[in-house]
Amino acid sequence: MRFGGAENYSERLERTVLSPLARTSNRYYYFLFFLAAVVLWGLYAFIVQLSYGLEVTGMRDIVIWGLYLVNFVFFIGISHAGTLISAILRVTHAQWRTSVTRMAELITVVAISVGALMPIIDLGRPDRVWHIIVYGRFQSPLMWDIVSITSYLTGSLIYLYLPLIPDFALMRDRLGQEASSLKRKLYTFLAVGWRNTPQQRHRLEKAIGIMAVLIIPIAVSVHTVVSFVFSMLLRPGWDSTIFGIYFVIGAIFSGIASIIIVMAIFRKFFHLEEYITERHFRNLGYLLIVSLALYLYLTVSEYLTVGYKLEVEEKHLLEILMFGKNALWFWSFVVGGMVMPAFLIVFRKLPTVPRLVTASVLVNIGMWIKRFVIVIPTLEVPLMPFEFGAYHPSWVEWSITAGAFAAFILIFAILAKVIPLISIWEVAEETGAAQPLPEPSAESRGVVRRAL
Amino acid sequence: MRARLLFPAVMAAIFLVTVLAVVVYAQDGETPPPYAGQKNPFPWDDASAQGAGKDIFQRSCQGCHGPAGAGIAAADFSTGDFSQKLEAQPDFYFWKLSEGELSKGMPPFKSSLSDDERWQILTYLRVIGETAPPEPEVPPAAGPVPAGDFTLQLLAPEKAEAGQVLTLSAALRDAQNQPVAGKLVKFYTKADFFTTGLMEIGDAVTDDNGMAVMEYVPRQSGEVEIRASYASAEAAVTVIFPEEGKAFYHTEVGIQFPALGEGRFIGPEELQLGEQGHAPATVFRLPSGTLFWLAPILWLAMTIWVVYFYVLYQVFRIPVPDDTTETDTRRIPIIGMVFVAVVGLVLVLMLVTSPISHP
Repeated sequence: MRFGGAENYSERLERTVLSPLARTSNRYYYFLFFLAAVVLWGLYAFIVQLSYGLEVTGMRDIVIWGLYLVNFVFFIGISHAGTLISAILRVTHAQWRTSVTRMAELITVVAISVGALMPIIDLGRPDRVWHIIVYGRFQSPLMWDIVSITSYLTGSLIYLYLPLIPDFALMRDRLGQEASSLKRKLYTFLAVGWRNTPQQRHRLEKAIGIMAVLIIPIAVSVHTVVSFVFSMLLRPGWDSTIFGIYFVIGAIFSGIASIIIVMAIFRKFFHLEEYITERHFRNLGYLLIVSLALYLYLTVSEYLTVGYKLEVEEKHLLEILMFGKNALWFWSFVVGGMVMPAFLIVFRKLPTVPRLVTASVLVNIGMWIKRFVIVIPTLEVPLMPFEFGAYHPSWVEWSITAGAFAAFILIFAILAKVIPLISIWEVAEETGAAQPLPEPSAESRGVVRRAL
Repeated sequence: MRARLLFPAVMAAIFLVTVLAVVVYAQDGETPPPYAGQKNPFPWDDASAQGAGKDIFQRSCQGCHGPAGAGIAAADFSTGDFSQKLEAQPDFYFWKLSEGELSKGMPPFKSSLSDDERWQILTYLRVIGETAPPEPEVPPAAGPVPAGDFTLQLLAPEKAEAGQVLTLSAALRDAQNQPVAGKLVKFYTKADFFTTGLMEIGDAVTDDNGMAVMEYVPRQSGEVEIRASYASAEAAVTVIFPEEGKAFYHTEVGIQFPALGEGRFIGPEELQLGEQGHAPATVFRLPSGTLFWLAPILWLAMTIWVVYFYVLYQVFRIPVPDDTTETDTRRIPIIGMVFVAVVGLVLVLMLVTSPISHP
């Protein structure tokens, strides 16, 4: 198809996926610069918070948790995108997964890294975070947070790295002498001497198989434990037995939406249309509508059971949620995060990709709001005969939130320049085009070098 | 097929042996731990301990054992023989007093009386034969109520504390004034709901001495009328619960999970709750014996990290072709393995040391 049709499928695949790693436009650097500026601004806000204490936030003695916890739950939520979905698809041998998994796994690693910082930022004395390791107590669900989030982060890193090994080897071999020696050295190390021999493949596939199975229960446990931070307290709206599965489904829901967004962005900018097709979007759209339906079901049963029992505090909660000061948040979640995306997914009048991307963006905004609606109003309801509490996020909290989101995109953008965003060897295998990747001939070396 | 069955068979055998061991261990006639070897913290002739023990005895034991401790022939405290045995084997009696022997009608007192209170009772029991008044006290406010062929007599302390175990005993006798065994006596208390009425609080079967003994934890205050009835025989007694802002509800924290080895507990073992208090004592007990309810979660956390290590070991074992001239390609998996080992160890240590990191 290329000049004279000499280029076969796998060569073209390599060229398309690897070219963004070698060529970088100025616009990309401007974008990084902008993101770095936002991150620095967030850092400045954090320094302000460190020097003046949590007084500069909107959190007070009654409403003790704010945007940081909202972001924490949100980021841990979208981290489910990755690992869980890619592992489930891998375990069930869904063939279309191959061009999606890498991005999903990358979302996981980046999101969980940013999300895990949030509870530490939330502390008045972040320097004392080691106390939970030295003086941790079983009575606190936070200790299980530490255990499961650390396990999940480590597991996701391993699970991201394993399928990358053959791709690293490919890059080691294809990047010619022009590539900087640092880059070559890095890829050589990361490729752990991969030559694609049958013995090597045997080891790697065994390792991937174990991780794919193991990571699913760990991912489920992470969001269950995050929900325990709330549901193990006797507070209206949190005191619920379905919180574990409610959070897990919510995480999968927003995770799938995140994959769709990331896929669409890189498909456009990295010209991956041939490998990420409308079929991928449609399939993920099906998953999205299923998880939306599940989440809707859980949301309804959550509020319906509360509404039937209607303890006095829960009555207060429902009032401020549905008609009081949190009504705007609540209804924008219901309408913007569930109803509108559902219509967009179900009615297929508009073109597939923009339609699903719009739905996904709405879902992610809606799910961020939903986390706000879970965390804040409950704390505002008085448990003793006091006035209702109030929470208004300060500029420091908004700045740190913006910084966190910028950091997420920044890390992702940088990694996208180091790691091939599509698992080349798996896609090649799926299409059957690839016999074990051949040693590059002198000619093909030249082709790729030119392409790079 | 046989090899496949071997593993479950071995697991089942281990399980059975463990269960058997626990059962045998629990039924042994010897004083079991943690009671075995315990000594009376009070000197046997400590007069103040004896005095305190007497008070508690009159409140909690006298109902069955009688004022001189001779009410039950199988456990006659008034003989010199008993005093010798008590001094020789204090841990055995402390165990019986703490855990009770419900099959013989003896209730456990470890949740209603503190360690010291139980030892004070034993200290008093050693001298009860010498000091107790020879003639039985007239039970307070409980007159025999003749009714048909039976008479019922209800024994209860005059004063009691809300939230503490109150032992009610009813003596059932026939027309010849002989004890009647094997009859179900019901106990009631006067309670105010929408109207004042009798609320059944429990029942008990009379033993050979014609005594029906029931334990009751009252949550009321003020003067409370308690009744016992069998057929048409009835008896009533009024118990006074002094209102001193005392907790009405005295509960043990958590659920007793079986654990091999001594349990460890963090925080108060009992919660006292006032009239309005509905804060539940939900915190699970945290026994740190070899087998406790958190152990499976702990094993799971450990297993995960062991598997991580194994997976990285697989990467480490990826064979390096001979022709490679590259630098050490195994550095990444080695770094990964060290990281996993260190972090995994820290997490497991954190979990294991959690119960003892809070003195």
